[in-house]
Amino acid sequence: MTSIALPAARERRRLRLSARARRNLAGWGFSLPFLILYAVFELVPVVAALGFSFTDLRSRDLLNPLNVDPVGTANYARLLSDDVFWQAIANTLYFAAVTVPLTIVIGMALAFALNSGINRLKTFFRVSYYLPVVSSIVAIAVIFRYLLGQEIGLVNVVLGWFGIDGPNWLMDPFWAMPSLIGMAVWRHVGFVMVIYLAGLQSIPGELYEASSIDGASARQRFWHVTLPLLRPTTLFLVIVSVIGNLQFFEEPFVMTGGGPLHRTTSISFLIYDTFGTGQYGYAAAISYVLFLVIALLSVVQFRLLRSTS
Amino acid sequence: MRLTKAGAGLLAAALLLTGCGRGAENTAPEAAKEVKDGAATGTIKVWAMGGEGEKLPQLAKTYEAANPGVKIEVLSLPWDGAHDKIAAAVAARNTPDISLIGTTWMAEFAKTGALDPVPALIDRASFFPGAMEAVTVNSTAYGVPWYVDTRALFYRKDLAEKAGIKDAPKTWDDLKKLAKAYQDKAGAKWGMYLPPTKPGSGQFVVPWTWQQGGEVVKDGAYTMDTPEMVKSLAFYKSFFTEKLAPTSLQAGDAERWFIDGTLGMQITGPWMVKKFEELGGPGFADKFGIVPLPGNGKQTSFVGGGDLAVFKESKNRDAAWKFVHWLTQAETQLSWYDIQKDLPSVQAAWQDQKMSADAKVAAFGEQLKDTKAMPATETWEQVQKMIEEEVEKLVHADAEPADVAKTIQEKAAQIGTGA
Repeated sequence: MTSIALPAARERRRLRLSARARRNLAGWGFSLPFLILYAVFELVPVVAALGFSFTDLRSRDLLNPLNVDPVGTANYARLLSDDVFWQAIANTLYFAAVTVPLTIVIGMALAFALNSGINRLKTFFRVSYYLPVVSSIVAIAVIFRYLLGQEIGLVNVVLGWFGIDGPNWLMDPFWAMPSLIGMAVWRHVGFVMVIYLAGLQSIPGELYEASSIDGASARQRFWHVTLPLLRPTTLFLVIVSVIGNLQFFEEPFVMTGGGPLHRTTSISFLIYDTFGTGQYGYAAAISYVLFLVIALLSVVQFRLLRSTS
Repeated sequence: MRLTKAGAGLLAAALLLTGCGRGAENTAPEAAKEVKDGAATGTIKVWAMGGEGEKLPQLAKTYEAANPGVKIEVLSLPWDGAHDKIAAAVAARNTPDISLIGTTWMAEFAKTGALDPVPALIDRASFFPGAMEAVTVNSTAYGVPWYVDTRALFYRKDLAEKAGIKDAPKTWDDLKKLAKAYQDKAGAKWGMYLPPTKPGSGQFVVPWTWQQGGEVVKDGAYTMDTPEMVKSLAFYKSFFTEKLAPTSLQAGDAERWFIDGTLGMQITGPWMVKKFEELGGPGFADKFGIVPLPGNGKQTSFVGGGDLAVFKESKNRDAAWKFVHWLTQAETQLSWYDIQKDLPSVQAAWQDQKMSADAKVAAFGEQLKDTKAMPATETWEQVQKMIEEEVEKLVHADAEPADVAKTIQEKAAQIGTGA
């Protein structure tokens, strides 16, 4: 018996294995185009940049990028004593710490208004709030520069009606960053609003009905029904905005050039600037620090927002 | 755990790969190969930026007509991003035959070893010496000045007369006096424009240092903490503390204000002559004058512009140099001036009546006789940016000139000249 059963079982197993192998093969086959592209255009540069961050690679080494001296952690040590780098860290944290909550709160408020309050012209409002998200940053920059100009800027003209002498927003060391924050919030609030709208519409109406029958006020319904059910949406938005805002680059790039006095130099902008002056090794080191900061913060956020749900 | 192991492995591999070592740096002058006689043939690929890129084909037609069998292919690039594009081409060994290169990039690209030393075919003595300095690295010329560009003082003649000042300013004191007079007696809000934030201030403080006999680089090291530099920085700052120059303005304000009389003076380049005449409308041309920079000792300004370099990877090297040779003949430079209004880098071209007829253009010719190039060190771009960031502190953070000079020197020494 056994002598007959064994080959049959083996046969069956081999068939099953090969079927799985075939499936695996097909899977790898389908992902291969992506994997090759990923390896060549993402993985290799990412690893190479890590390697280069431990060398003194400069623009003069373009022809022979391997012909450079390893400098150990000198680039990272230089970062620690670079006052511009610390300023950039502080600026980036300042920017993200203000922009993220502001965008989320305003976006949520808009979503509520559009979901329940405003009934007329609903589509018009939705489109107009979303418009900045899809507009070109260059066009936005041109308009904002006019808005924020010292003498002819609309903002200062309006302030002038109330007797307030507005600053030159973008060239004032104190006001430059708040100006960029305002612009960033205006740009991204539409995205947050759309996601929240979707989140709000997925909350079943029966829950509201049931809670109002139980005597819950509108405020209670918001705190105890809406907000908890929006938690996954909020988690998603917080993580996406934190990552996006820690990498903010376009605003200083088009508006201030990182100035004045480096007050709007973000880490991303500093990397770009450093790269532009040919200090490739040093720029790679800054990039990895930014990567570490973002990775660390993301882990923290996941832990914080997940454990309570 | 497995991840960290993999990471460590990758890191070790990357370090092995990159840890090959730079080896001894070669600082000996590089000998240039000769260019064979005979007519140029084949295709010559040229990269050029901005207006030069757009208009060069127009000029190249003349060359193509005179040299049948030559085809000039011009790729026009925007100045923004041109540096990175050339750098990428060098890294990929996929360069054109010739490229226009900004003067301050010369040292950096020469150091990559991608540029072909200038052959004897080109007469180096025919160019302005300052312009030649900028293309010379390790005593080897790696490029040829194509056009030059310098800064001179633009001032409102009519307003100066109204304020009772007849002569154009020649010294720092004259400059200050005139700036004050514009404000006190000619109704101008601002006497002078100087960039209160980056970029641009480096183009003022460095020439001012030269004017007093100071140097910013000596024997392969930066020398920024000098009495001359401190004096330049103090002079710069004084325009802001004495409220002669605006501490904040928007792009275009300086031009607008100069035309409407809100601003009396500014230091700018040759391309603004035509612009002011156009923007100012009829009659404005008579209202402003151009003179060499008011000085302190000498009246030195800086010379910049565009250089032409031929790449070693060029497949048509000889023809490329022949084309460059033609572009730097006095006659060609004059027809180029007609097309693009670029100032000739060849001194002989300035003897032509075309250049001396217009007093405003001639003022730039006069200024060019006393000019110096920014140091041809591979890190200059980085250093200049750093200087401009420190100068911002003079204007916006009320920093002391002596402290700023010290910081600039510390940072410059840390960056190094790369020599």
